[in-house]
Amino acid sequence: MPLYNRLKEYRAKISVNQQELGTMVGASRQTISLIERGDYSPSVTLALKIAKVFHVAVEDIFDYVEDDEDMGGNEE
Amino acid sequence: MSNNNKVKVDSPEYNKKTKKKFIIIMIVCFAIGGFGGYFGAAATDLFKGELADIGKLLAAKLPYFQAYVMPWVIFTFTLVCFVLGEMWIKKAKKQIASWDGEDDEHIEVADAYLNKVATSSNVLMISIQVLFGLTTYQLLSAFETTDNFHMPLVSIVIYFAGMFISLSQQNRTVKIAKEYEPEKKGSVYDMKFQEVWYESCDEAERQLIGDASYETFRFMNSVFSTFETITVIVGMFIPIGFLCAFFIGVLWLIMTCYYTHVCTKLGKKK
Repeated sequence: MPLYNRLKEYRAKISVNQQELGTMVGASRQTISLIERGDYSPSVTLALKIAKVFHVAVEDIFDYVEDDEDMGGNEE
Repeated sequence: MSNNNKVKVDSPEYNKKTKKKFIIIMIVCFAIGGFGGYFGAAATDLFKGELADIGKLLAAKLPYFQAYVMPWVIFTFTLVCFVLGEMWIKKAKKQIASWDGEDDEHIEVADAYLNKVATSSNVLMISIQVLFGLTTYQLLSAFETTDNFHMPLVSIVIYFAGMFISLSQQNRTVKIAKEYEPEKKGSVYDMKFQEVWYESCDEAERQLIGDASYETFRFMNSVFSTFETITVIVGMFIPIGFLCAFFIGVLWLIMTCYYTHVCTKLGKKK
C-alpha cells in the first residue's frame, strides 16, 4: 500500500530541516526521515499537522496509489 | 486476479487443511516423545551408576568452582562487556560528530553502535546476576565447611562493579541518543525511565516498539514451551529438581495472562 509524498520538496521550500519540522509537528527527526523515504505512513493526525505547517491540503503532500493487490481486493 | 486461486486464511477450507497438518504434527511429536521416553528410561537405567558419580563429582567440586573459578568468570565477562561498550560508544560519538544535521547515514551507523551498547550493557547486567547466583549458591553452607570466604566476597565486589559499569554505559548511551533526538526524555537512574522514555516517543517509534514487543512475545512463547518440555522430560530421568519446570511454567503463565490482560485493557481504552 504505497503512500508517496513530496515532503522533502515542501520542506526545502520553507528551508527547515527534518529536526525542525519534527519539532513543529510533534514527531521525531527519525519519523520525518522515515516518512520522506516512504518507509512509514503517518497517521491522519500527523499528516494533517504536516499539511497545516505548509498551508496546503494533505493530498498536495501525500499521494496514495492503489497497487494491483488492493484493486483485486476492492473488486470483491 | 490471483486472489481467487489462493486459499484464504479465514476460510473453512484453510481451517480444515491446517487442522490436518496439526494432527499429523501432534502424532509425530507423540511418536518422538514415546520413543524418546522409552530409550531415555533405558539409557538412564543403563548409566545409573555413571550419572550418580557425575552428580557426586559436581557436588564435591562446586565449592571450589564457586570460590576460585566464578570470580574470574564474572571478572572476565564484565571486562569484555566494558571494553566492547566503550569501543562502541566512542564509534557512535565519532559518527554524531560527523553528522551534518540532515543526512541519515551517520545517524543510522551511530544508532547501530548505540543499540550494541544497550544490548551489551543489558546482557552484562542480567548475566552477572545469574553468575552471581551461581557463585553464591548455598553460600552459607559453604562458609560452614571452609574458611575460604574472601573469594566469594571478591565476586560480590566485581558484581557491584559490573552493575555500575552497565548503568554508566546505559546512561551515556541515552545522553548520546538525546544529542540527535532532543525530544527524548528520561534518566536511566529513574525507576520509571522506560515509561518516561516511551511517553516521549512519537507514533512511528511506538509502532516499532509495539511490533518488536509482539514478536518478542511470540518468540518467548516458543522458548517457554521448549524449555518447559525439556525440563519435564529431563526431570523424569535425571534428578534436576521440580523447581526448574515449575518456575518456567509460572513465568510462562504470567507472561501469557498479563499479555491478555493488557490487550483487553487497551481494547477498552477509549
